[in-house]
Parts: sequence; structure tokens; C-alpha cells
Amino acid sequence: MLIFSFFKTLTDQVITVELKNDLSITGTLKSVDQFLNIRLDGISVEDPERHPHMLAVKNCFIRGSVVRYVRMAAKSVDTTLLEDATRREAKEAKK
Amino acid sequence: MSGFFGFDTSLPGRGAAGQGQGRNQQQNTSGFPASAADDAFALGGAGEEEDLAVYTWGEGMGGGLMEGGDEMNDETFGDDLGAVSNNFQFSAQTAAQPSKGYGHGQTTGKIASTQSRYKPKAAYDPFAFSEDDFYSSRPSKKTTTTKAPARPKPNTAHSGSVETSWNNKPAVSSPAWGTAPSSMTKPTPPPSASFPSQSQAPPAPGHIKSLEEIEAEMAQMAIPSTSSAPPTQQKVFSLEEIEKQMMEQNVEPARQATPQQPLPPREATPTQVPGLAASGYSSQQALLDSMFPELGKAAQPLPQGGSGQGTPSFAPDQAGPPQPPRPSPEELARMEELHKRITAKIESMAKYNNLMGSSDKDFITRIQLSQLATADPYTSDFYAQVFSALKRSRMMAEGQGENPTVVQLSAGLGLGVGGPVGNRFGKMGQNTMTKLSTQVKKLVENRAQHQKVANTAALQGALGRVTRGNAAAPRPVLAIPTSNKPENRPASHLNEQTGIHRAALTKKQIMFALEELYDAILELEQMRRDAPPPTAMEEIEVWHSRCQSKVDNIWRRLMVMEPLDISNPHPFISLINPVKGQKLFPRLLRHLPQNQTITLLSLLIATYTQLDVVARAPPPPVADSSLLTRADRLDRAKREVETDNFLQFVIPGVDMIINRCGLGLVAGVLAISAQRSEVWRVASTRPGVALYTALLSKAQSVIRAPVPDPMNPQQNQQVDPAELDQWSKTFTYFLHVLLPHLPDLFPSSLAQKAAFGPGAYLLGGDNPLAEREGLEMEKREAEVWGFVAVLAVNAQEEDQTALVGALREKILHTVQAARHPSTSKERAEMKLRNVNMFLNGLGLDASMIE
Repeated sequence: MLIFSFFKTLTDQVITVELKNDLSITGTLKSVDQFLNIRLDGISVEDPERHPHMLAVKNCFIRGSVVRYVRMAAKSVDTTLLEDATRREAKEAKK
Repeated sequence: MSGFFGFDTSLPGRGAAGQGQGRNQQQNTSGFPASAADDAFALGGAGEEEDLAVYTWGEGMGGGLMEGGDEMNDETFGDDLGAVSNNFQFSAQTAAQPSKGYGHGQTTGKIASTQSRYKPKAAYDPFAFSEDDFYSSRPSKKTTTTKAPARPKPNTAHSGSVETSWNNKPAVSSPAWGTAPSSMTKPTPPPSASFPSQSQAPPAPGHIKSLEEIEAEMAQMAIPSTSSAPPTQQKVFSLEEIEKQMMEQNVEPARQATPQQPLPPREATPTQVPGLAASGYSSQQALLDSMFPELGKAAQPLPQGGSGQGTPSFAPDQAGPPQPPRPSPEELARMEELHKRITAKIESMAKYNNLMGSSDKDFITRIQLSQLATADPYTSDFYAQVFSALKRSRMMAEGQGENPTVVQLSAGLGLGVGGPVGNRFGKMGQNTMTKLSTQVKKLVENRAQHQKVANTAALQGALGRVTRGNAAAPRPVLAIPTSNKPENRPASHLNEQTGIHRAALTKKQIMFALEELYDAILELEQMRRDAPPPTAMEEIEVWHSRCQSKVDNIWRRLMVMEPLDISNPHPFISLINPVKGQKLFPRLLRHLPQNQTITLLSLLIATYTQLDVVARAPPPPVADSSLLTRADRLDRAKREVETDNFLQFVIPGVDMIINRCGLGLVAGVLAISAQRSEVWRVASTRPGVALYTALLSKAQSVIRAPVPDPMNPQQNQQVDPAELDQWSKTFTYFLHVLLPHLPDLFPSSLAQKAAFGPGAYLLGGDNPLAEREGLEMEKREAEVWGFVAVLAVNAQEEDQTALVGALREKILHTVQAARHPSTSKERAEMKLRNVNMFLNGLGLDASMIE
């Protein structure tokens, strides 16, 4: 739930999702669910020459399991808080 | 008619179970694909509910009753019975079916009815935990109503034993209808499948028919089962035949009443009829009900009528065991009409076959939400909760309305909906949120129940321990027992050792201690957030005491009260040496009471030299970092980072504590520092400079006794002359210790001293890199100039002269460098500002210097 909780805070921010097939999509995060499926709006592909079929696509739904990385602005992450949340999560798991 | 009659003759003894058996056996061997079917039926015979059905059939008179109204079946249920391909059979039992090889005699087209038979879907539970439950968890009306009345049947007129009748009948009928296989493979309610009572069988899990499937089924059924066995076999009936037969029987009820009546057709028809009634139709109806409630209501009478005529099981309920009511022509007409309507409706909806309706979406949403609901929404959604809380507090100025961040489903169960402002729920609106939350609550309760049941079910001990995970609590790949691990207490470890001096904490101990501290702090912070309402006095008291005990616990773990010389470094210093500990420092201070913070400050100052950032302060920068080894460079970088963090996290806290101190305390800690450490050494580090600057400026602000502030009269206490005296003594001592080393405090001087060889010439070079480093250097210089400035402000007249004397060269050098044409404008300004910081304190200015 920690990562889900984290991604929730990124909604309406521009992120880049790198998929396992090396496709990198930049767009505004509209929503994320507990499977970390991601809905992006206003997308653009990092390497349009290689993926011409993506040119016409304006928004997409990405299944969580195909995501390799999500890149986001450093300022949108509160690392201290993330550390605390991790501690809490770890503690919950121990219970 | 002929075909049926042929049938009849072959099985005369049907009514009497004992007699009938032999023949049935024959039939089985001849026409029946597999003897396994018999076994299955025998097994199935054990099932109670099925018995009821059997009885009715066995009586033979059932024929009259059952058959009544059957002619309408195809209209009622679609013109076909259908074939349903297996691809929609999601439940395991049915899935096994095709492989069993029962299918010889059966046309695929006929399977359909049996499947749905298992689960009348007349009702579904919108709050089901799974899709299975969705359709089956709520007992359908049909089951409940028919079950009870059905029981009496066995007693009424049946002569044969249940088992025999089971064995016989299904054997006969199943090949014809292709229903048997599915029933056989079913473990729980097996034989029932082929019997009219089937509709009474408890719904098995897992069958969901989509509209599409139903349609496919119907479409296939519409095709007469020509592929089935030739009529001579007598066991396979086409729809037409059955219909004919039904008609026949309708006409001659008397005949059927006798046990000698043609049994096979009867058996066949009843099997089919209930199957249809229960499955094909009921599933449709369920579907329709769910989509068109009004229509469902209208259709309600239909199954009643149909069952009354077609299924014997219904007959007894209404009219006593043997004679079911006949449908009147009007009724038939009405039914036909209705059926047409239903068919038309289904057809019209066909275009939406592959689309999710809003109810489907709702269903998914509820399922998803139910998985998100946890007992402690604040914890599981901690990051988003706190993040948005921080954000909101930042945006408080905008005066946005407070949105709830946790949807409380029930006591101890909630849903974290934290997120950026304007989160999803905010968009959805309050109404939706409340509605959803009640629904999800039901769903979660349902799931809890479901899990309870499932846990006690057959899984236990079957294959070792079964662990299941879900999205909220995934199954751990590695299960390492972590409970009741002894607390890793460095302090207690220290206490185990004898003697006043002990070994310093190891790195591992420090890290463990820090983690424990973090945990304690997190708990405490959570506790503070959960403050009871200010009205509940008792609760507040309890809460206060709990917080206090937590604070005490933290205080103990900080090990501040350990003797000063217990180890080097002191355990507390060990704790704030790593960056992790430094980050903890300001959060600790927030919770500690005043006297404890002062104790902490004294300890910190007394052991300031033990701090990594002081003892191993980053060495002065070298002109050319390429002269350094890689390890050296990394080490420097690490020390720089530690120093920066110390200045960022610890020093503000220290400042805060110092600002709460009186002059006496400030003088006290300065004296401690002067006694216990070489002041000039500490002052030559950035943390040292920062500390002394804070102490001296606080003292100065107290001594100056600012103009009485009407807003804050508390601050205007007169300075105690004794304290003042003590302060000036301490300061004079401090200054005199420091004076000879004063020029060495400046990082530029240190750098020059440290430089040797070619580096010495490179220093101060005007390449762009040096320029950037130079600006950094000026910033550091500024810290020291600030320090000497407060020294000057605090110093007496004669000490000021000494101060200027000690710094004379440095001042001149800096001013000249600032005026030097090769110095960049920016850097020159900084240099002058730095010098003026000091000179202005003395009433001088750099411009006065020639």
C-alpha cells in the first residue's frame, strides 16, 4: 500500500513511465490503483521515431505489471516522509 | 408420438423402482456412454435434495404433471435449448466436463441448460466478495421456495427407493439431454442436475452467464438436434419430439397418472424442463432482473406457471403431490407473449454485449475499494495522508475547504483517500462517497465472512499450510520470523560492561538504536495526532500520560543521561553522528520538555569535540582535486555532506534551545566548552563557528536588554548582575584563548596553510573553476567573519583593540584582494561585505581603509 499511497500523491503531475518494452511515455498522471495500473493523459513518447504508432495516442492506461520505472520530479517526493512511511510499513508487516 | 411410445414400451416397469432397475440397466449398457455415469448418479443419490426430485419421477404419475405445459418450453426459454460451449464455464467442475468423455450421445447443444441449472441466478448479491458470490451468495428465491415444499414429496407416493430411481433415471435421460455429464462431474449436488429438482439444488459457485453466452446458447438451441443419435435409439430426443410428447401428455393426463406410463419420455421431459426452468430461463431472468427490474417483476409469474406445468417439483407445492395445475390457453398465450418480449429485449441488448454497463463498473469499483479498506487507514495510507496534510498546511492561506482524507467505513475500518488536493473523492462528491462507503462496508464484511468460511473449509491440512495473499497483503516470499526478537539495546549492552569507561557503540548498535528511536518517534507523532477531543477530560489525561511515557522512553533511548565520560564518543554523540541521527534531532526536540533539551544542549556542547563533524572536520579544500586519491575524495565528500547536514538539521535545533536559555545558562555552557575543549580547534570548524556564534549573539541580545516590548513583557526581565559578571568573565577567558588563533579560523587561511608545492600557486588562480570554488570560499569566510563580528560586539573596549590587532592582516589582505582588478566583481563584493560585517560591529568601515 505504501507505493500506492505514494503514487496517489503524484496525481496530476507529469511523470515518465518507462515500460518493460523500453517504451517511455511522459504524461500527466490521472490515476493509479492498488495494482499500480497507471492512467496517463496528454502523453508523448520519448522516442517517437521508434514508436510512430504512438504518435496518435493521447492518453493511455498502463497495466502496472509492465512498468519498469517511473520517473518523477525530485521535488514532488518527500524522502523523509517516505522513509517514515517505509518504517511504518515494515512495522505493520512485522505485526 | 410414436417415438415416445416406443420409448415407453421399453421401460414399462418404471414406476416401480425395483422392477425398473433391470431395464434401466439394460438401457445403460446399451445406450449409455459410460457406466461411470451410474456411479456418479449413485453418489449423487446421497444428496438429499435430489431425492425429492427422484420421488416425483419415480411415481410415474409425475408424467402427467410434469409434462403439462412443456410444450411452451421452447418459447419460454428461447427457441432452443441450448448449446453452450464450454468456454464460459468458469467453474472448475464444469470445466472438467468435456474431458470426461461423456459426451458421446449428447449433442453439444444441450449442455447449456444443465449448466445454469446449478446456479439459478435469479438473484445476485451486489455486495458479493467475488464474482461467484455476486451471483450465488444470496440464495435465490427459487431455491428457498421450492426446497421446503419439495421435501414432503418423497413421502407422498413414491414406491421405489431413492437410489434406484436415481440410478435408473439419470441413466436413461442423461444421454438424451446431455445433462448428465455435467452433473456427474459435479461433486456436491451431482445427480440433481438431470432432474427436475435441480432447480432446488444449492447454487454451485462459479457460473456466470453473460448475455452473450445466453444468446449463443439460444442460438445453438434453435437448431434442431439433428446431430444427436437417431430416433431409434429412443434416448435422444429432439426438442420437437419432446414437445410433441408434452402435448400428448397434456391431452391425456389420466394415462400418465398410472405407473405404467411411458417412463422414459417423462423422465426426459422433466429433466429437460426443470433444467430449462432453472437454468436457461432463470439465468436470463436474473440477467433481466438485474438490468430491468420492472421487466423482471412482470416476468415473475412466468416461471411459476412454467414450473407448475413442466416441473413436477413445483407441482406438489401448489396442488398436492401428483397433479400440477394445467396452464390455461390464456396463460400460455401470455407466456408466449412474455417470452417474445424477453427475447426481443435480449436481442436488442445484444449490441452492448462486450461493453461494461455502469453496474459492471460499479461492481469493479466496489471490489477495488473493498481491497483498499484496512483496519488502520492512516497507517496504510501514511505517505499520502501526511503528504497531503503538509501540502494543505502550506496552502492553508488559500482557505480551501477541508476534505476528509479518510473515509470511515465503520469502527476500525476505513479507506484512506489522501492525495493531492482535489482527490478523486473530492471530484466524486460527498454523496457518492457516502454511498460508496456503505456499499464497500457491506462488501468488506461479506469478504470477512467469506474468508472465515474459507479458512475452515477443506483447505485445512490438505497440502500443508495454505497461505493466500491479496493485493493488500501479498504473500511474503520469505517468511522470516521476526516476532519476539530481543530488543537491541545498545545502552543495556553498555551497562553490561563494568567500569565507568566503556567501548563506544559499534556502528550496528548505533543504527539499531536509531531505528528504534525512529519507531518510537513515529509512534509518538501518531499519538499526538490522535489527540482526543478537548472535551473528554479523562481521555486527555490518559493520552497525556501515554505520550509522556513515550517521551520518557525516547529520552532513555537517547542515552543523554549516561555519564559524560562513559565512552568516547559519548553514546548520544554516536547517535547524532550519522546523517540519519542528525535528521532525527529536530524531530526529537519538538517532543522533549524544556529542561531535557537544556540537559541535551549541555551534553552536546561538552562533548562537541567528539562529534564527527568537529573531530573529523572536512579538511580545507585543495587547489587541484586531481591530486587526491579516489578514496580521499570520497571521504572528503562524505565529510562535507555530514557537515552540511549537521548545519542544516542540528544547528537550527541548537539555536532554538539556546534562544530559550538565559544569560547564566549561556555563560555556563560557554564555560563548559572552554574547559572541556580547545576552543580554537572547535571554532575552526563550521559547526563550531555556528555554535559559538549562536551562543554569543544570544548573550548579546540578552545583555543589550532591548527596548521594552509592550507585546511581550516577559522578555524584559532585567539581567541579573551576577549572571552578567559571570558572562563577561567567561567571555574574556574564551576570547583570550581564541585570540592567537583567530586568523587561522578563516578557511582561506587554512587553505593557504594546507597548500604546498604547486598547489600553493594555484590557489587563488582565476580559472573559472577556481572562481566557483572561490565564491563558495567567500560564503564560508562569511560565517567566520560573522563570528568575529559577534566577538567584537561582545568584547570590551580593550579587547576590541586586541581583536582588530589580531585580525589586522586578514582585514587588509581581504580588502586589497577585493580591490584587486583580477578579482571578479561578485567576489569582491562578497569580500567587502564580509569585512564590513566585522568592521561595522566596531563602528568602522572597509572604505576607511586606504
